[in-house]
Amino acid sequence: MTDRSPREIGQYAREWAAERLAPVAMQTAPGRYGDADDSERVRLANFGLTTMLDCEARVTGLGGFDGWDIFKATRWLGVRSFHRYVSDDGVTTVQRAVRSTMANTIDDAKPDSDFVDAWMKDQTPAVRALLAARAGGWVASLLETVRDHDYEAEAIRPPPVDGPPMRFYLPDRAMLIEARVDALYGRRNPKGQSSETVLVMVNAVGVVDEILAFEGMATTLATGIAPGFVAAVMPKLGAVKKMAVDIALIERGLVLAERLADLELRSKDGRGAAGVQRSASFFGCKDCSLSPDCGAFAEAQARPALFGGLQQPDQPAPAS
Amino acid sequence: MSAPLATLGEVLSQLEPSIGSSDYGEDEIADLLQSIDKELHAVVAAAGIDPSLFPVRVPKGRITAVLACPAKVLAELGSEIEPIHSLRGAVADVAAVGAAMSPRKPFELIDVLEAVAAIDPENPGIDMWRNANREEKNLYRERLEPLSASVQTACAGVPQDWVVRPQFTSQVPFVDGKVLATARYDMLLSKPGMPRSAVVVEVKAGAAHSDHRADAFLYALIESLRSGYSPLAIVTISTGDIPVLVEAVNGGVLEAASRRLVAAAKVLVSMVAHPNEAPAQQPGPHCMVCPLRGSCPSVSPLVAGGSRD
Repeated sequence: MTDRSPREIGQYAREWAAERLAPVAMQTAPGRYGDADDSERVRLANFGLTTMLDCEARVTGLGGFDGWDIFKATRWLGVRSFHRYVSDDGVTTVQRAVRSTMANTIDDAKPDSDFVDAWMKDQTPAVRALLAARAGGWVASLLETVRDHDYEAEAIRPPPVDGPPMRFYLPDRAMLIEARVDALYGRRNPKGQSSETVLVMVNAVGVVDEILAFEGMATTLATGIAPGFVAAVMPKLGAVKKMAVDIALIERGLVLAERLADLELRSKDGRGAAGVQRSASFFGCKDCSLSPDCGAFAEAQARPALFGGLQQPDQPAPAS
Repeated sequence: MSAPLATLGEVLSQLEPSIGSSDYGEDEIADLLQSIDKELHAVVAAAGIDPSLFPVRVPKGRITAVLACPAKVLAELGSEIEPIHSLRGAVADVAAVGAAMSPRKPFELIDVLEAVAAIDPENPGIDMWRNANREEKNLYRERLEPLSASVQTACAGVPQDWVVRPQFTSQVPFVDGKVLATARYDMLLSKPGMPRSAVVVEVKAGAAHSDHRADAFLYALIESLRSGYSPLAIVTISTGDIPVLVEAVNGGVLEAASRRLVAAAKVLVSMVAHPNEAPAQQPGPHCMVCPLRGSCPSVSPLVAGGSRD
C-alpha cells in the first residue's frame, strides 16, 4: 500500500470513500447535490468537523448559512489578499494587499448581491478598518508561523481563488465533502514522491490530528491526487504540525466524515441529538440552539468556574 | 525603562532600529521555556489532579489576580461586568485598531460603536446604548467620546508597512499540554518578514496603574515563549497623563515574569486539585473592589470600615 503513487492513492480514496460512505449517503436525497433542495443537502466541511470535535450534539443544532459577518468576511478577504500579496509584484506589504483587495471588491460590488461584496460595501469605514486589520493579521500569522518553521515564504502559495471549490461529491446523492486549503507549499508530483503540502490554519489546538486527517482525506478526494503532506499552522502556539497523507490518514479522515455525516443527518431526519455526546464550553454553548434543554450546559452553568478550569468550593470559605 | 511618548507611530519609529536585535536571544528563551516546564512538571505531579480537569488554564489576567488574592479570584468567577464598563473597554479596543489602520481621519463615536456591534454583538453595553433614551445617551456619550478620541490620538501614526493584528490570542502549553498559559493582546504589531519586530499593545479604558507594568511583563514573557523571539516592547495605551507607556523587554523582565507565572500556576493547580479547600485570603488594596469585603475575616484594615463605592 505504501508504494502507491499520489494519483493511485487518490483513485483508491475516491472509490473507497464512495463505498464506505454509501450507507450514510443513501440516507440523503437521490440525484445530484446541486439539484437537491437546500434542506436536503449534507455538506461535510471544516466548520462541522471542528464543531463535532468540540461537541457532537451541537452539530445537530447547526443552522444553515446565516449571512455574512465580520468573522466570515475575514477569511474570505484574507485568502484573496494573500493571493494578491504573492502574485502582484506591485504590492509589497500585506496591508496594501488587503486594502487594494478590499477596494476592488467594494468597487465591483453588484447591487442586490447576497455575497460578501455587497456586505462589505454596506459597512462603515470603522468596520472596514477592523476587517482589514483582521484579514491582514490572518495573512501575517500564516506567513510568520510557517516561516519560523523552515518553510521558505517565497514558496508558499495561496489556493486558486477563482477555480472550482475543493469538493468531492458522493455519487448520485446530495452529499459532498469539502476541503479547506488555506495555502500550498512544495511541488505536486502525481506519479512519484510528492512534496506538496496543504497548509490549514488551525485554532482548535487540542484536536489537530483529527483536523489534519479530515483535511488530508478531503483534499485527496477533491483533487483525485494525494498531496504529500497536510500541515496545521497554529499561530496561537507559534507551531506547525505536519502529517504524511497516506492510506491510514485517509481512512482516519473517512471515519470522521462518517460520524459527521450521521450527525448532520440527525438534524434533517428528526433523530436530533438524543444519545449523542455533549460537551459544554463557554463559546460553544453561547450560540447553540440546544443550550436551553442541554444537561451538560445546565451542569456547567451551575458551576461556572468549570469554564475557566476551576471548580468552586461546595461550601463558602469558612471564617478563619 | 518607561518613557512617555505622544503616539504609537512615534514609538514604532523609535523602535525600528532595534528590530532583529536583543540581549535575550532564541537560545535563552528556549532555556527559559524548559525551566518553567520543569518546575510545572513537579507542581502537577505533586498535586495529584483529576486528569479530566486538564488543562489548567493560566490566563494572563488571572496571574496578577491570583497572586494578589486567590479568594477574590474565586469569588469573582462568573460575576458580570457592568455594561458601561464592558462598552468602555470595547470602545477603547476598537478605537485603537481603527486609528492604527486608518490614519487619515479619526472616527466619530457612532462609527466606533457600529464597529463594536459588528465585532462584539453580544457586548451588554451595545444593548444598553441602543435602548437608552436621549438623556441617557448624552450621559454615555460624555463618558465614551473623550475615551474614543484620546485612544485614537494615542494610536495614530502607525506606518502602513506594519501589520496590525487585533485581539491576538497567544497560548503556551506546559507539562505536555496539562497547563496552558494564555494571553490576548489588544493588538500585536509587526513587520512581516522581520524576526523580532513584534510590539504588543494593550489598551486600557482608564488611567495608568502600577499593575499595568506587571501585566506588560507577562505579555512580554508569553509572546516570547510563543514565538521564540522576545518582543521589541510592550506598549500600554491609557487615558490620563501618560497615554502611551513603553516598556522595553530584556532578560530581567522575562525572568521576573516567569517567576510570577510559575507562582500563579502553582496556586491555580492547587485550587483545581483541591476544589473544596478554602483558598488563601490575602488583604491588600484589591479588597476595595472585592465582593467578599463585607464578610472576609482577612479584609484589609484600610477598607474594613467602608468601600471605594
